Amino acid sequence: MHYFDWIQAKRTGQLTAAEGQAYQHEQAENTALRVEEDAVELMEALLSAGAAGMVDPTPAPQPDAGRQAAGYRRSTWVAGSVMAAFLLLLGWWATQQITTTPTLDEPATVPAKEWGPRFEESVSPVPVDDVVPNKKEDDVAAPATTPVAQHEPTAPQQQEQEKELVSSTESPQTNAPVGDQQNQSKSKDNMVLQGMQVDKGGVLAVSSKKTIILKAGFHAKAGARFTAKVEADEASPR
Amino acid sequence: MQAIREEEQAGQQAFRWFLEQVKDYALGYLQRKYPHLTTADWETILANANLTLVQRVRKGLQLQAETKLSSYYVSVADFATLDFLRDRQKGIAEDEIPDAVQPPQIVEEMEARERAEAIRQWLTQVIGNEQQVQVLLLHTRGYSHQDIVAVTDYDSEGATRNALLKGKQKIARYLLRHPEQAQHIRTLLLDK
Repeated sequence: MHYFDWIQAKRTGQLTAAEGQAYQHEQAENTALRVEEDAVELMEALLSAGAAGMVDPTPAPQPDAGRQAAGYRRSTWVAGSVMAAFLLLLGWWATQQITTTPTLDEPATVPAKEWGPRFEESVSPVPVDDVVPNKKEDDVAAPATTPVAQHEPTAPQQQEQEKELVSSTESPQTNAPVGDQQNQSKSKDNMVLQGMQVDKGGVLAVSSKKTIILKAGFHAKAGARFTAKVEADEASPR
Repeated sequence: MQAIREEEQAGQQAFRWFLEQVKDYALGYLQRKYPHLTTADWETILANANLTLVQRVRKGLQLQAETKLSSYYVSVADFATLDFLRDRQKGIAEDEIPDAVQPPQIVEEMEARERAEAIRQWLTQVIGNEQQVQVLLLHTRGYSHQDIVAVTDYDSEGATRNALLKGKQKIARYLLRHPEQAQHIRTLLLDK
């Protein structure tokens, strides 16, 4: 069988114009080529007759297809989760925008831009007993308008403050988690809120004589009511 | 073409110039396709190809508009190579081709399914590989190589393509080697 490739290429229409013409001329001159062509034609007829009456096989299980389907389900699940998380974050951010907008009746607490990144740092809900006064800052005079913006501590400062906060948890505060009950913190000169969360329906009102600082981990959820007042002279709440 | 046809000196020179130019072009392609042939083999093969071309031109060869003479020459040289290999292998028995086996028991009264089963058994005897027969029949039935992989033990489309090519070659070689049986089957199937 010497011309099999040429014969197959001719039968399947894969010859170029030049090859087709050369094949045609060779076929006219070459008896061996014609004999092989006949054999291939008979072979194809045999296969056609054999295939015509055969029973179609049942497809075998395809592990690859199963893996592909599982992969598709997994990627769909991941994409859905990411989208859901994004929507939740967007909803939370929008809620915070609304709740932190100052009104005539309710003074602003913390600018919204201060909240976003801090939410991501919050890992677990912390009861309200973390609402503690920062003793060290008692001597620092709070600015009149934006007390929080003053307190973007550097890493060493933050560590130091955290140590102080741990030590200050012994100070008497409301121990119940902030849920649907109302909590009113005691008035101090300076106040730092850190690592706590106000749930939906919960109400938290804090007041201080000088500053109220909302630090990483503080989170008032959508539907919560959080009020912070600096009452130096009991006449100018913020 | 005109230069080859005419026997004047200028025409002969033009033809020689063409053959010199096309020789390297043809060898570049053919030596990759048939790497085991020697330089002496190629000299013989290309001499035969040149002779074939001259004879055809003098018989009135007309190439189609889209056909280049150099491309046509390469095809002629390819056939000359196959002729050369065929002549050299004459008398050498081809391996893997079994002696005559009982031809498929096909009678007119048979249903298509019975006829198919008789042919399948005959093909299995000739090819000696049931999986290859399955590939041949499925492909003829219209299954893609991807489909064939799904219903057989072959694990890739390349493997099924290889099985298809080898199986077809074995059957055709068997039929060439046993022309009487080929004629018998041809009568049964094609009524020739």
